[in-house]
Amino acid sequence: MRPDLHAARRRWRSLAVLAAVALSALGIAASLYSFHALVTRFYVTKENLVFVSTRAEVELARYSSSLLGMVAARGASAEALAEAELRFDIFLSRLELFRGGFVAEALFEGQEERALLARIETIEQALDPRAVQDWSPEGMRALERRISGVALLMQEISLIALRRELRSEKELLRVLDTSVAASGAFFAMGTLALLFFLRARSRALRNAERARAAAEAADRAKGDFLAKMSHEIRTPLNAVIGLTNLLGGTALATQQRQFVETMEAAGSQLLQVVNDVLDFSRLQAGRVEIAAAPIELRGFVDRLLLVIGGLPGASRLAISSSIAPDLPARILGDDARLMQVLSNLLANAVKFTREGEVRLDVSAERGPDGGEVLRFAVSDTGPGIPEEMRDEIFEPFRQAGAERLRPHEGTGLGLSISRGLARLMGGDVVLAPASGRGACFVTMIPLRAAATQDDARVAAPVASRSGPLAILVAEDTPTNQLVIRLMLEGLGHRVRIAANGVEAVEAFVAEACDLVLLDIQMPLMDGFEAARRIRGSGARGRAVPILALSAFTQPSDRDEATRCGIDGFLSKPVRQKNIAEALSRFAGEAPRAA
Amino acid sequence: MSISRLAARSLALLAAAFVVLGLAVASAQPLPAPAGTPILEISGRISVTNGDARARFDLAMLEALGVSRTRTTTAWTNGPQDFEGVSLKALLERVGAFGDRIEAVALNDYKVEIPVSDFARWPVILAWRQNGQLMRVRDKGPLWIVYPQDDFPALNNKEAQGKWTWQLKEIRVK
Repeated sequence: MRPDLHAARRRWRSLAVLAAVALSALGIAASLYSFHALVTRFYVTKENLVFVSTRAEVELARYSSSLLGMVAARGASAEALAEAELRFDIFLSRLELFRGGFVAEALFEGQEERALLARIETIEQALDPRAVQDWSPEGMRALERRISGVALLMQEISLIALRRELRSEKELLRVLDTSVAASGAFFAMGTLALLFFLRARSRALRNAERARAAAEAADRAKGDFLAKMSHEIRTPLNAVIGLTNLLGGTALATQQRQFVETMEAAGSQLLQVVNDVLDFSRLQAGRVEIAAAPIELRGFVDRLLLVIGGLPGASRLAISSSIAPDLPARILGDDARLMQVLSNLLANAVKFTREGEVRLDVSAERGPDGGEVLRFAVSDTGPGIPEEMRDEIFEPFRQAGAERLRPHEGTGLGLSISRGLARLMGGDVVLAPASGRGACFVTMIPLRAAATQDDARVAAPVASRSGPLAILVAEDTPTNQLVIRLMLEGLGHRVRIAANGVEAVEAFVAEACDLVLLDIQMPLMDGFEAARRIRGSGARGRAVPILALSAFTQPSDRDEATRCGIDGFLSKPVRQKNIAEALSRFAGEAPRAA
Repeated sequence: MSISRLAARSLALLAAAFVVLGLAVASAQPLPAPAGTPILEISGRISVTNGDARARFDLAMLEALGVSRTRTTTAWTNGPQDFEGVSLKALLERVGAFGDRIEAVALNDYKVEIPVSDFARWPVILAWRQNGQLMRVRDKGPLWIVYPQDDFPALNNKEAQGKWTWQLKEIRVK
């Protein structure tokens, strides 16, 4: 079913539920109202029929007993007569109620009962003491008989009244029952509707949850695809760049040298593009993890400038740095990611500045939320950023002045990646307001001072020795075997190649070596497992420096590698220079010229 | 409401009560004895009597207090009825009644208690004429307490109807 149809159905369902609930409320109200109306009619506003008829009987009895005195006195005294007349009039006033008005209407139904009315009409004539001529005992007895007849009539009326009241009560009960039943039914209906609605809603929530899980799974699949692509692209690139690098070290004609240099530059560019796209995708997918480890600030800046100083075009610029004296010597942060952000900005500065200087100034300032902020200002004397481009340059795939100036290589992802990383670190990258010439990009991250020196991890066991090293290399791709062998031998070392983890472990056990270089992804046994086995193989295995040589750049892989006892990393594609630096660091080997 | 305001209010009420009482006593004419047949006797907390701690009235004395008229339906008759009688408020003032309720007693000794405040809230009358005719005992006379039921729907219930004492003979102020 199409989503809009779904939505329409949901809307209708909600409306139906609402209608059902409203109807229930209305139904309950209506039944209660009908009950109320009935109670009002019979029990609040109208006379009680039984009371009215009983009063009439009582007053008749009182009249009758007022006559007893006259029987005893054997004649009517004026006083007794007046009393009898009063009692009779009171009785008549009660009798009057049966002749019209609400009481009569409520009492008499049908021909038989209405016939009683005609008999009532005769009572006044028959019983009026004023009409009695004969107060002799015989006359009195005749009056008594007439009174008895009327008493029976009154009793009949009382019984009718009782029946009417009973009927009213039954009617009341019936309406009450109906009200209760209707209220119950309506309540049940409303409850069912609500339950149905809630169930539908929870089902919708479950569906949404499933959709979210599916989206997450798809996201993971995308990430895995990225990691795989990263590996698949870097492996051949490693060979291309490595071999080009080596080719540059051979005796070449001038033109050949130019070709090789161009090839190397193109390879570097390709690598940069691949790295940028991967970083960007990872940022987009939220798959970048930020570590927090102590960074020695001075050393960090020096390393940064060293990298920048090596860029093409850097030699014609004055590159300098300053660190504010009030900054802590060591800060907490993600060394690699911070390095990436700043080298990106610095490389941009170098790329766009034809002459003059590029500066990196590190200072601290108070952030907008009151916390301390570490501020890296990268400024240059280049063409600057045109006012209308200030916002756009942080968008992916944008470059400032791409048309007006020389065409710049690169994907245009650098600033976007830098900003994304800085934001992940809780900071930002902004373009400082234009002042004079050049541009100034400011990176800010929360300033967190690291603890003192002694908790810094000692990077690696350093075997202090010089001269050629015996190096065991595990690498499955023949091209890469060739590249690494040529590079290491070019540096004067002895190389033994193992084609996978199993071979590497066997070779290590069989013959001593000074350093192990392990590719991570290999058939039979991967680099992690091989490192673990070498570390577990005895004293020699614990002492030897192990470096990972891999196209993997996921932070999680680095964690895993550290757990397996790997001391350092060489990211593919590898260059001879990087290998020389790593060897000097991990095996105490002085770097040699390539 | 603050205590002081409450106190001030109470004092004002008390003062008003004294003034009213004073006026009532001052204006209270001595009540002559009825010349005709007495049809009503008022007893209890009253300050004006005509002998034996009671105030007795014949029809002429009641008519002299001023005649009020009420047109209303009743629970015992057909159609609207025209009643003529004296306002119960005026009647109680005439005898200097100072209770807060009355007990109305009928010829057949039917009794009902009525708060005096009823007569301030509604124009309740003690009627002796119905549709222009003097009411006989058989017509629920000679006196009938009549509430203006049609003008005040709140009176259209059994409780109020219980106060419609007919064949009234006596009022005891309590």
